[in-house]
Amino acid sequence: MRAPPAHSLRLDWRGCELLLLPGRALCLPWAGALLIADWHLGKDDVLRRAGIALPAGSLDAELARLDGLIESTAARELVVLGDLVHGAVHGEAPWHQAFSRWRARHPALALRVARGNHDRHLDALAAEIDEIAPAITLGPISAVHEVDGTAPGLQLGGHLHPVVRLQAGRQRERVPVYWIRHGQVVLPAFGRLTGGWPLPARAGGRVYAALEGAVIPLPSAD
Amino acid sequence: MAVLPEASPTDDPALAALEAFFARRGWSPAPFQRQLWSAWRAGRSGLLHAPTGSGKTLALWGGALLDALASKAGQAGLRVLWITPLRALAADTLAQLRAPLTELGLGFSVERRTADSSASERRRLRERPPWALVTTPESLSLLLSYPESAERFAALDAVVVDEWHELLGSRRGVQLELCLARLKRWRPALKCWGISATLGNLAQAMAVLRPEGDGLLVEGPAAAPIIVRTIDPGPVGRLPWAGHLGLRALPGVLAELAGSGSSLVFTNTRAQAELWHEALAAVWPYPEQSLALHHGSLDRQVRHAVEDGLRQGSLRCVVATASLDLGVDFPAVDRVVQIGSPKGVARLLQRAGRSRHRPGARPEIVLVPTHALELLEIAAARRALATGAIEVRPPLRGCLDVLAQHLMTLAAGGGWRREDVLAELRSTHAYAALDEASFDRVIELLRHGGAALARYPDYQRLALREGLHEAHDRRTAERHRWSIGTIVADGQVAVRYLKGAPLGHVEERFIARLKPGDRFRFAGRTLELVRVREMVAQVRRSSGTAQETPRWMGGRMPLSSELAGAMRSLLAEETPQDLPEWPRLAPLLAQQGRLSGLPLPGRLLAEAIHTRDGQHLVIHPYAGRPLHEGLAAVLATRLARRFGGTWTFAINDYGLIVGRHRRYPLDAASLRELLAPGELAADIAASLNLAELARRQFREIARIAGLTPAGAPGRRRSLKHLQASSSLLFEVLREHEPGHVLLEQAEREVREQILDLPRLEALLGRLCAQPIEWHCPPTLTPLAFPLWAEKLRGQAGHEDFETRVREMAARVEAQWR
Repeated sequence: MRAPPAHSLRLDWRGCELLLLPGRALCLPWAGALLIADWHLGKDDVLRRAGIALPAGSLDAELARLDGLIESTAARELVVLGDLVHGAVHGEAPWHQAFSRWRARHPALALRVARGNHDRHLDALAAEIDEIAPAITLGPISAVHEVDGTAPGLQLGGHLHPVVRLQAGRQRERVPVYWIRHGQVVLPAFGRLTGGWPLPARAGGRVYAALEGAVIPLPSAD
Repeated sequence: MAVLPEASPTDDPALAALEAFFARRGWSPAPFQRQLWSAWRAGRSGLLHAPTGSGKTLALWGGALLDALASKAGQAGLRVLWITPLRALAADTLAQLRAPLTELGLGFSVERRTADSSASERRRLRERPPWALVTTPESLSLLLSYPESAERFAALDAVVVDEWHELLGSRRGVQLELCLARLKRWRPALKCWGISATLGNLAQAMAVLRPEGDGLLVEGPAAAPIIVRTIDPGPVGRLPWAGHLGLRALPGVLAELAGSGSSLVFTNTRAQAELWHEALAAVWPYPEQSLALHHGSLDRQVRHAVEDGLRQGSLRCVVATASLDLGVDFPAVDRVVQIGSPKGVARLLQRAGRSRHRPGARPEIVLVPTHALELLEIAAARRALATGAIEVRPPLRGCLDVLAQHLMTLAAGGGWRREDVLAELRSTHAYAALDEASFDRVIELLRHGGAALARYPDYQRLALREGLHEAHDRRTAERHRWSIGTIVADGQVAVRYLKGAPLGHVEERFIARLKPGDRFRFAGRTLELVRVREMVAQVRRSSGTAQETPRWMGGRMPLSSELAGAMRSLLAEETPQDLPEWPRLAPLLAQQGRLSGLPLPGRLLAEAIHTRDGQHLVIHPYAGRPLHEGLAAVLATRLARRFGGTWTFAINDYGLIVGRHRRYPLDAASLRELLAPGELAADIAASLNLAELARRQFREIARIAGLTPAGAPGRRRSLKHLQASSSLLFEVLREHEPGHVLLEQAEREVREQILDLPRLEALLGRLCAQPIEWHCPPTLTPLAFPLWAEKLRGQAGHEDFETRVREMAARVEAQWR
């Protein structure tokens, strides 16, 4: 495994190395695994059908970001912590075709998904996914959609789409964050069109902002 | 313009019948009414300039009645449209229009159609069209979105736009211009008449309504001069900032109300109305039910009950906001009180006109200053009124969002062809200069969601079939109808009792701050929040005291530039003898003069003041809020470049303050350098978060253009979700389609309407050419104090803010003595 990608933030959990990456993904270098959560593929189609005129470019940008992450981490497998797809899956949907082309470009990459609440139609993609399960085990770490504290070791999850509102002068920004507490790590949503859940003021734990070019620890609120 | 001969009743039986109707009431038609009737019957269009209570309704309705009396045929389809800006006015208008019909023995029907109309009412209107229809611009637009609309308006003779001044200058006015152009296409001889109160640009107001250039301006009777009285605030010993709700004047106001029958108490914000209602209720010596509250966030039924009470004279006093500004007739009202400055001369006239709403009576308004500078505003309003300096309402042009909505409306209403519709659009004032490129980009937006090269799959709104642009399918058309309307509200949560009775709406962000069990003041009662479900806040009455009163966004009324100008020229006068406010103002202005100077015209007053929290620069350009905002931001950026450190600023109607914690060496010469126009555009871009401003502007544009759909009934969806998606849309568009036509509109509106770069540049040029009067007062001056408090408000928490302002007030007052 090569040196960790620039601007990532290294954490250690009982000797296991975790890299928080700026691109809203987490890397377990010892397992060769890249983890993302809440991509919500096809959400732009759902919004467009509801009359919201979203340009079609955002999926290309997400795929390019993912390619960059895979390249920089030399990951051998991609683990999705649920909500890979947003709604129904049609074969002719442009996002589906783009996703299939992307998948075909990475034949050696294993793709495993911990099923999320949005993944009702995930089975339509089963041919392109190596494993669909409620939880994916990576050594002492369990990757799920919703963290619940029931696993003995470290739980990684998504589902919440955590964000923090940062204010500098008159400028306000919602920044996706990693939220870490009691043996649980919640990843920011990978998808661009996902909105966010602002962490309450006294949420506790540690919070790391996933900015464009860096991961920055935020002052603890409690 | 040629003077039309007046019709005489001898050779016109219809006119004779109408005159008999007047005579039975002991009236005789006024000259302007006769003039209008002749013009009407000659098929002319134009604008009637008449104050409320002058018989303006009968002037126009009389024309329609003459047509009816003269016609031998039955009612045969819809002949007259009566457009009213507020649906609350529709009921009154309807009653007014119906009364003469029965008396004249005309079996014709008048109905109304507004957003409040039920589905069965709408169906009945469709099946049996009335002779005349009272409606709003939004409902008219909606009517045009049905394929049978051409048929529905096939017999239309005339459109009357009531209170046109209220629509002019807004997107709703533009929407109406477009609707009129469509109606005229079907009915080229259509008569279009507007009714307007006094405006600084009446001729332009007519030209917008009647772009053909053949409009006739009919002057109604000159309005009786209004009587303005000011409640004496007592010696102005207190600071200008103190007590901005003005409750100190409560005994004086109560005394005013005691001496009269029914009264209206106007406030400038809904929060202020709630608080004044509460304060009055606490000392109300009459039956509790005789005091009521009226503002735009209350439920329709609550508002209707109050309006009925005012009509019947069963209410003694109603505390209201702009929601009662418009021309509902309340003859029982004989006292109007305005809390705070009216902020504009036109508004002063309008509100005064609510009193003794009968022809011939002189309207009177009692003004209650809530702080010392408001006393100056009131004095200036009095002076501006005397010199006739009424505000101008510039009409909007080229709004592509309204255009997109209208094109979709026409597409759903039977479809359109490019060349025809372009000519139709260009016949309006708003789109006379519409270029083909912009037009085609809007079409692309509707057809493909974006530019031709970036077609969005799945996006289906407008379809082109054999040259005809139509709604893509029935669902698209239906969805569009739900989103028609250019008035947009921020996310609003309905407030209801647990048992279900609705009270009104408050902003989502206000409710979001409350926890169940918290008490707040709304609709004139103290309520306890029980729970929030979907977009409904369930409440119960509470006997405790309220902890909060909702504040609504956009509640702040900016001072009109006409009034600001009047204030400045007032300061230059020696001792204006004719202003009763002057004796109270003189000591305050003398204090200002002793400590520093007065902001006289032709020179720039600059004050450098040290307080414990830093060094502040205060200047008083009197240029209005938007320009002050831009100027303050530019100054802060330039000061930071020069001296380093973090600078904060605040503005009000009169001036601005910039400062930082550590001291800095600044004098008149270096201020002049800072005010040089220089690289203004670059400095503005560096100082304000332009993207954030554009994002806010885009929200409304996206909703009007139909980019983000409104909720449909049965599919209730949180507006918060919608807002998130407009912001998301903004980001995604900026990234993937930066040349998007509506993004450009948002950016242009921020530049031209919000920041107003050309005017800002002119202001800087003017300021740096003026002599600078540089003062270093030992403490905050009367003019600087409100700015200092405003700046603190932006930085401190609520309680901290109150305490610190009180402390500072005590300290400064001690120094002033």
